[in-house]
Order: sequence, then structure tokens, then C-alpha cells
Amino acid sequence: MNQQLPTNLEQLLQRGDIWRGTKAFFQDNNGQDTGHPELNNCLVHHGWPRACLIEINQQELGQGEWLLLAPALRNNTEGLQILINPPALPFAQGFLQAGLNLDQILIVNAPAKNDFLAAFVEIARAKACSHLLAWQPQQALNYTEIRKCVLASNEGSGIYWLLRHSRTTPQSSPAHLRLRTQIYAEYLEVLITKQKGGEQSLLNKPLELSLPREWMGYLPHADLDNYPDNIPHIHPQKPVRSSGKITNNISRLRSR
Amino acid sequence: MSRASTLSPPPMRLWLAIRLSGNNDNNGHPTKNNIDSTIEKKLMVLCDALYQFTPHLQMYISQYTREHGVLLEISRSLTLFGGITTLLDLIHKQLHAKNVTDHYYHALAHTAQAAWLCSFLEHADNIIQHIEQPINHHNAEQLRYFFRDRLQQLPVTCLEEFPHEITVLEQTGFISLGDVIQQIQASGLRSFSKRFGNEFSQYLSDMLDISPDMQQPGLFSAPVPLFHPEIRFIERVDLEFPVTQLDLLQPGLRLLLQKLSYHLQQRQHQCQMIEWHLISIYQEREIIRVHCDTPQQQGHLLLDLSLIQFEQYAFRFAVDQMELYCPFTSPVQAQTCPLDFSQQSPNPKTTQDFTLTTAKLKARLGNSAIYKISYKDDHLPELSNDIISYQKTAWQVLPALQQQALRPKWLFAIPQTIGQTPAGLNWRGQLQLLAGPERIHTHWWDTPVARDYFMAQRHDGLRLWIFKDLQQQCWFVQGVFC
Repeated sequence: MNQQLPTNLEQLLQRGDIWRGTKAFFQDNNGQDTGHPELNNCLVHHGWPRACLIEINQQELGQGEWLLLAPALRNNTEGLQILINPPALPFAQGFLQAGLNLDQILIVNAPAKNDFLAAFVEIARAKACSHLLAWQPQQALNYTEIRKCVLASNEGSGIYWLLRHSRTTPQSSPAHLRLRTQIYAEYLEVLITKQKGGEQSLLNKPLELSLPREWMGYLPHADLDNYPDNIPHIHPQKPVRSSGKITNNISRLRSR
Repeated sequence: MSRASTLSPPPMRLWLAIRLSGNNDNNGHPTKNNIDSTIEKKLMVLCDALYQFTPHLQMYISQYTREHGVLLEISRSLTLFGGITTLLDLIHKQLHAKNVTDHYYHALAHTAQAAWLCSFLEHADNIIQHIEQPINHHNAEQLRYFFRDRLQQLPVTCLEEFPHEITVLEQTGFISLGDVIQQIQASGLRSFSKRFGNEFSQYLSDMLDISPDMQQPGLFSAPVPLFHPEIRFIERVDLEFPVTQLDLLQPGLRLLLQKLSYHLQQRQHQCQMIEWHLISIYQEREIIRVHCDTPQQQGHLLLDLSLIQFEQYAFRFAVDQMELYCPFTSPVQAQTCPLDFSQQSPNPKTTQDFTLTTAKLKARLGNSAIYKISYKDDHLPELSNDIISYQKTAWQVLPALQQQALRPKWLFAIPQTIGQTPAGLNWRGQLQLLAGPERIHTHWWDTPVARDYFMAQRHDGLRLWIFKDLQQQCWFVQGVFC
């Protein structure tokens, strides 16, 4: 660390990672916009903090990880976005629809824990890597191993996400920021469970992020015949009508 | 005539041909390529042994008869080694001392081609007494006539590189090279050019050292090729005591790689592969090879890659000596870089930086562990997702139809079966169909596939991309919206 040692209390308080009770010290220059204004408002850096480890806890794959992270990835045009141990294959068509650049995305498979740690450390230190999404291997990481990831993240200048199972939420973690995500039919719930330098009052308050419009407005197929035309639809957006009959046919939906 | 300086170009060239006897050492039924590579290796050893006498060395392998040998231009070495007799004696001794070959034929002539042909003459080595005097007096013309006379004794069949021309010459009544030379003296090379083409007439003019038109010694003779011996890097360190720990080996590794870097820098070379030889006190030997993607001149990456390999290496014995061997190098100038005018080409600095990272990752995880995805124009989702090398450029143009369709971010390479219960579809929870169907009916030309795709929602809100296989009448999950 090439930072000079602080000589007095004021200098010490300039550090962003010192807990200051309910008052947070904001460092605006070290965050990247998450693409979700309501989430930005809850984060110390008004965005994803750089050179820090961000832990995201999820019950299983598909809990809104790409909804949460895609805006930041989309806004970054330089540097590589690297995925370590993704739980399934990223679908090129879905990524292109989301505006992601496939040439920037690299996938690394490191199923063994030692290999995962070595890969994480190497990639986090590489200047070419701007964003790293790492899914912890089958064998869970312990505190010391996550600490290694934290130290490697501090040496880099990108944004580093570590995705772990939500059963590890109660366990202590040295990550700078911890979130838990859960997808629901109407919204994506994001819970900040830990944030260095952040206000305690913001912790564990669920944030509801909206889902993409194209996912909404469908009635279950089984119920289509039960709804007369004059009953307003319960979902935020009405499904498409075709010649007076409610339908979820995709070929009709494409024209929206 | 005054003696010429050893530095000035010689008034005439003198070639020594060393033709190895037969190729009896090829066992079994080796292929042509195998024979060539064996011969090349043998000739390379021969060149290395002869390099001390002259740098102008040429390997020769006949395309038709597989006769092979080495051609030496020795006119510049005569003064240094004290005359032709001494030089030939030294060469003979060197070849026997190095055990390069048991038996060989040698011959002298004014051109490389003529020397090679003269090596087929009997008593080729009895000519030294005839040529020593003209050589010492630099009488080029006298020598040229002498060698031309010797060539005249050879039959036309000695022109083995031109089998078609030999047949025609024999049919026309040419028996020996003397007949050919007489024809050239009478009517020049043009008649041969017209009949047999430029390649053959050029060969004759080179062999006889005459210009095609004027029948005079070539005014602008081609430069004599230089031989560049392979310089292999071998360095060794002796450890103070036998060690089995990587930490204790590291200083030695660093020292040897520093020496290699210095060696490569001095010669403006680079390497892609090194070998570590670990030697025990009983002279047991283990070899660890380290490869890297891109040629290296500095030792940093080679050190990191070596450490990765050593970490996974179980020491079979305590290491007493360590050798670094770099068998192959290439000139730095030989690098080629593709021209890329596309706006999407990555920043070269970041790419270079990441090259080191990927090399380390590949050394640890294997080549297939790092990849990219690319779109491929196919209706079947699993086939439209192409896995490509991370160095290639991904195809990113999505057809309009696919741009508007509902597509998930995660794709299961192998679709997972959905249970069908009386209550409905079940995959880790009850599913309800939302959007669809989108029918994909494709590959009718090989394995027909017919599927109806839907976006389904699980009871907890997770949206899945599922399909019904219309042929099997089964449901599968193929993707996850998230």
C-alpha cells in the first residue's frame, strides 16, 4: 500500500472504510453507476465501489444477477469482463439483447478451490480486467480465502463481485459490500447486509428494483379463458389483445 | 601475381563437396518426411562440425536419389589454414574425431554444382597435386579449365535433378557432360534454353560458371550463403545441498532465467519453450517442460509458468543440480502481427498485459478453461451459442427476428427434464406458462427438431425458458431469465 500513514484524526477520517456510526463519509469518485438510482442512493460511493470485493448472496442461479449487474457492464466499453465459474452457459442471444459486448466477456472455468483462488487473484490484479464476476466453487470459501480475494481486489482498479449461496449470509465476511438478491414475480429484491463506511440505518432494508417490461403483463396460459375482456388485468402492464381476445402469443407481443 | 589479402574477396571460388555414403541407416519403411528429417539432422551435425573451417556451408539433399552431403566454400579459408592440403587434412581429422560419419566422398571444384558432381568421380581425392599450384598462384582460369576437363568425364545421367532432360539428351546422342560442354562452346546456352527451359540452362551456367549469353565467367556471381549454427542455451547451477522444497529452488530458477534473458537479448532472439533438468546426486534426471503461447525474451512469464508447474510437481528425489535448456529460439524480427482496422479491436496495452495473465491461467487450468461465447446463425438455441477461443472475435450481429424474441441470459447446455404431474409442470416448483409458444422447427435435413418455446414462471417468481419437444412430447428447461 502506497498510501501515507495518517498523522491526525481528520486525516484518519478521510478514509472511506472507517465506521462512523450513523454518519457516512461519501467518496463520490470511487464508484461506478449501478444503473439503478434507488440502489445508488443506498451505496456509499453512489455506485459499485472500485477496487473492493462485493459479495452477492443468492438462493440459486437466476436471482436477478444480470438485471442487477448488466447496466454497469453495459456502460463500460473498455476492459475485459471476466466470469469465473458461471453456473450455466451465458446465452449469446440474451447478452446481445441486453446490449453487452461479447468480445469483452471472457469465461474462465476453475472448479477446484485452489485454482479458483489463483485465478481470482491473477485476474483481479490484471489491469485489463474491469469487471469480475466470480461464482464460488463447489467447495465453499472460508474467511481467510475470501480475505485473499479482498486483498487481490484492493490491488486492482476494477469492480469485483463474488457470488455465493445465501446460506452463507449469516457467516462473517471481509467483503467491502454484501448484498442479497431474491427475484419475485413483480420485482427484484435487493438487501444490503453489510457496507463499510455506510449508514447502519440503510442495512437490511429491502429495495425493490423493477423487472424488464418485456417480462411483465402476461397472464398464465391456464387463466386466459377465465378472464372476460372487461376485467382489468392485475399486472402492471396489460397483455396484448388480438381481435378482442386476451393472448400471450409471442408473435403478437413482438410488435409492441 | 601478388597474394590477395584474406579480407578481400577471393579471385575465384573453390567449393568442397562432402557427400555421405548411402542412406543405409534408415530402418524399416520410413516415410519420405521422416527420411528427410533424419538426413537434415545428420547434415546439421556435420555443418556444426565443419563451421570452424568456413562459415559458407550449404546442405544438399537430392530430391530424386536422396543422396546428401554438405558443400563448403573454402577459398577464404586457405590462407588461414595454410593451404588446401592442410585444410583437407584438418577437415578429415575433424570428421573422424567427431565421429560424424565413417565414410564419405569429397571433391573440389570451382562451383558448388560442379563439386557435387565431381564427388561421383573415381579417385576424386587424387587431384590435389594438380590444383595446389594454381590455387597458390590464384590462377583462376587454369583452375576453371582443369575442373571443366574433369566434368567432361561424367555421363549425362549424373544430372539427376533433371530426369526428363537426361532422357531427351540421351535420345539426342549426348553421352557425357563433355558432349554438353562442347555443344555449349559451339553454340552457346541458347539452344539448351530453347529446348529444355531456363531452369536447366541456368543450372548448366551455374555449374560451369559461365553467363548464359556471353559464355564468360559470371560477372555478377550470387553471394555465397552463410550458415547460422543453432545456438542452444544450456546453463547449470549446483545447489549447496540437495533440496526438495520449491522455495529453496527459486533463487536458482531466477538466476538461470536471468541468464537466458541476457542470452536472448544479446542475440535478439526469443523462445517459447524451456526445459528444466533436475538432477540428483546419483545423476537421476527429471525433465520439466514449460511452454508458453507467445514467444518470450524476458524471463518473467517463464518464471511464473515454471513456478506453477513446480507447485504441482512431486519431488521424486532431492535436487542437487539444476539445468536450464532452451533448444529452440527464433529471431525477434520474425514476429508477425495481424492488421486490424476494426474499431472494436482491444487496447493493445491491456491485451499485452492480459496475455501474461492468460498464459498463467492456461498453464494452471488448461487450454480449454478460458473461452468466449459468440453468436452463430442457427435456429436451435444450443447451436446458436458458439464457444470460441478467447483470442478470436465474437460474431455479434443478431438477426431482427432474434432481437425481438424473448431470450434468457443463462442457457443450459443440456436441457433439463421437467416433471409432469396432474397439477401441471414441475421443475423445483410448480410452473405456469406465460408467454408463447414460439415454434422452432429446424434441422429437417439431418436430425429434425420441433419445439414450442414458452416463458414460464415458477411459484417463487423465477422465470424460465422452457420448451415442449413435439416429437418426444416431453418438456424441458433450457434457460433462465434473470
